[in-house]
Amino acid sequence: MLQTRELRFAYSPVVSFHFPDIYCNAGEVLLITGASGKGKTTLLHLLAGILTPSQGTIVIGNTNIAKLNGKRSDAFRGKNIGIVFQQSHFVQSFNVLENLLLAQWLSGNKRDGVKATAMLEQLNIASQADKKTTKLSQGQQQRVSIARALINEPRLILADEPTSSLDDEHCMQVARLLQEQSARSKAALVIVTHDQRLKNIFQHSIQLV
Amino acid sequence: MILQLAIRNLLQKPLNTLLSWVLLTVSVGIISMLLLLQEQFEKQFTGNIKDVDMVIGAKGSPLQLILSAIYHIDAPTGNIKYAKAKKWMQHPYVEKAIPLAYGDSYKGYSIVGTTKGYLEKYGAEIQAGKLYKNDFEVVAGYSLAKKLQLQTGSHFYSTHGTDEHGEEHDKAYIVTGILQPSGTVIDNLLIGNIESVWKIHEHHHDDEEAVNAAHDESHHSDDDHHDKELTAVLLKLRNPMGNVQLPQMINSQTNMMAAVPAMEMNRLFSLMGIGVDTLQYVSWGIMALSALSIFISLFNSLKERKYELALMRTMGARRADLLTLLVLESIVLCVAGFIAGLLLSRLTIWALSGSFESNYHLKIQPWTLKAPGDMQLLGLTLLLGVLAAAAPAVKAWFINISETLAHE
Repeated sequence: MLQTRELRFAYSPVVSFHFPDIYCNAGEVLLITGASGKGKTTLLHLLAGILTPSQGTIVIGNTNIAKLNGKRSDAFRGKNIGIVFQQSHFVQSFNVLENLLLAQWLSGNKRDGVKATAMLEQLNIASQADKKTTKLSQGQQQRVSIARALINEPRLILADEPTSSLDDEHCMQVARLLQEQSARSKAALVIVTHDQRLKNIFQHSIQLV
Repeated sequence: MILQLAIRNLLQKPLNTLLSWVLLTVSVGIISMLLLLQEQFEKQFTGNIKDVDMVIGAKGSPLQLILSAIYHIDAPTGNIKYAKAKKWMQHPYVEKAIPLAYGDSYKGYSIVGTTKGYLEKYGAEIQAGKLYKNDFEVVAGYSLAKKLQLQTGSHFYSTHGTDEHGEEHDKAYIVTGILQPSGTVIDNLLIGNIESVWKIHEHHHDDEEAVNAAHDESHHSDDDHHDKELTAVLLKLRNPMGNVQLPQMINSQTNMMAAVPAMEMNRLFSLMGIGVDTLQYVSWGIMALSALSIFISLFNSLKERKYELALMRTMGARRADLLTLLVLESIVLCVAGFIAGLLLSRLTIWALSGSFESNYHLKIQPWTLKAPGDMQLLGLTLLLGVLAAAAPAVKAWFINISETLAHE
C-alpha cells in the first residue's frame, strides 16, 4: 500500500535528511520513532504530500505522489490520506458534525450526514455532534479528529504524535481506536511518535537516526 | 459549503462584522439616497419648467420669482400692472403667454388665477366634476384635494398671503372639479380664473383708493385695466434669440423683471450641489473606512486562522478554495451592506417624503428599483469587497502548510 524508496529531503544544504525505505501494507500499522530533530514531522509531511521530496519515490497504491503537482496533490490527499494531528485543530466556526461534512466535501465526496453520524457513533461521540469543537474535552477532540481522518475511507492514515499529550489510560484508548478503525477500513496506518509507550503496543517500527 | 463557511466565519466575529456592516450600510444608504433625491428633484423641477422659457414678474430676486411663479414654494416678488405686462405678452417673439395672479392661499395651498392655457400647458384633465366657468369657481389639484378632503361643491375662504394664518377674505370659493394626478406642480394648486382674484382684492383697492383719492383725483378716470394686476407671466418664446434679447429689454426698459427658469434652476442646483457633493464625499469616506475595516478584520483573523486554513489544505482543499473563502467572506458582507443600505435610503426617503410633499410640494417616489446609479453602486461595493480581501486572500494562497502545521 505504502512504499518509499531512497527518500531525501533538504531544507538547506546543511539540514538534509535521508530516510530509510518504508513499507506498510493495507490493514497494517507502522510505527516511526525517533528523537526530535530527526525528521519525523518532515517524513510525515512528505508522506502526506505536503512537502515534495528532493529525491526518491513515495508510492501510495499505484501513485507516486512525489510526482504530483499542486492541484492534483491536493485532490489525491483529500481522497486517499487521512491525517490525525498531535494537537486537535478544527474549523472553529463549524460544529463537530459540520467539520466532518467539510472533510467529505473538500475531498470531493458527497456530503453524507448519515455516514458522518455513524462514524461519530462508532467513536462514541455522537452526542457531541452539535457542539462547537472548542467545547469538547481533549479526549473527545482527539476522537473527532480520528473520525475526520477516517470519514473518507482513506487508504493511508497518518498520525502525528497522536498520544503524546495524553495520560496512560487515554494513550491506550487512542492507540486501540486507531488500530481498530484502520483495520476496519483496511487502511495502512503510519504513526509518527517519540512516545515509548506505543512501542509496546505495535510490533512494526522503524527508528530514525 | 464554502459560502456556508464564509457566513459562519463572519458570525464567529460578530462585533468586527457588525462594524464593517454598519459602515457599509450607512455609506451606501447616504449615497443611494442622494442619487435618488437628486434625480427625482431634478425630474420634478425640470418637468415643471417645460415650455416656460421666461417669466415676467415684479423686480426682486429672479430665483424667488421662479420659485413662486412656477413651483409656488416661495412668496411672490410683488405685482405688475396688467396693462404693462400685456405689451410683452403680445410681443412678436412670444409664442404663448400665460398670465398668473396668485398670492392668496387656502390652508397654505396657493390659489392661482389664470387662463385656460395654464391647464393646457400641464395637460391637466378633469377627474371629477367639471372645469370652473364663473368667478369664484376653482378646480383643485389631485394631491391637494385628497389631503384637504375637498370635493366637488366644497366651499372655502381664501386667506391673503401664503401662510395659513393670514387675513381671511370674505368671499367663498367653490370647488367645481378635481384634476387628475399629473405629477406636476398643479397637483397642489387651486386654479380659477383671474377675474376672481381681481374681484376678491377690489375692496382692498377701494380702501387704498379712498386714501389715495385726495392725492390723485384723476385715478378713477383711468382705463379699465389700469388697476388690474398680475403676479407673473409665463412665456414661451418662438426662437432662442428671444431668450437672450427679451430679458435684457424687459430688465432695462421697464420696472418689471424677466427671469429665465432654466438658468435660475441651474443656479439653484449648483448651490444645492455643494451640499450634496460634500455629503457624497463624506459617504465615500465612510465607504473607504468600511473597506479598511473589512481588510483589517480579515487580516487579523488570518493570523489566528492560518493553522485552520493549512488544515483545510491537508483535507484536500486547493489554494483556490482558500482564496474563494476569504473573498466570499468580504463579498457576503458587502452584499449585505449594500442591500441594507438601499433599504435604509428608501426608508429614509419614505419617512421624509411626507414633509417634502407638504413643504415643497415635491412628490418623491421612494419605492423605485431602477434608481440611477444603483447598479454602479453595487459594482463599486463588490469591487471594494474584492479589494479589501485581496491582500489576505493572496496571503492565504501562499500559506506554507508544512511550516504552519509543524510550528503549532
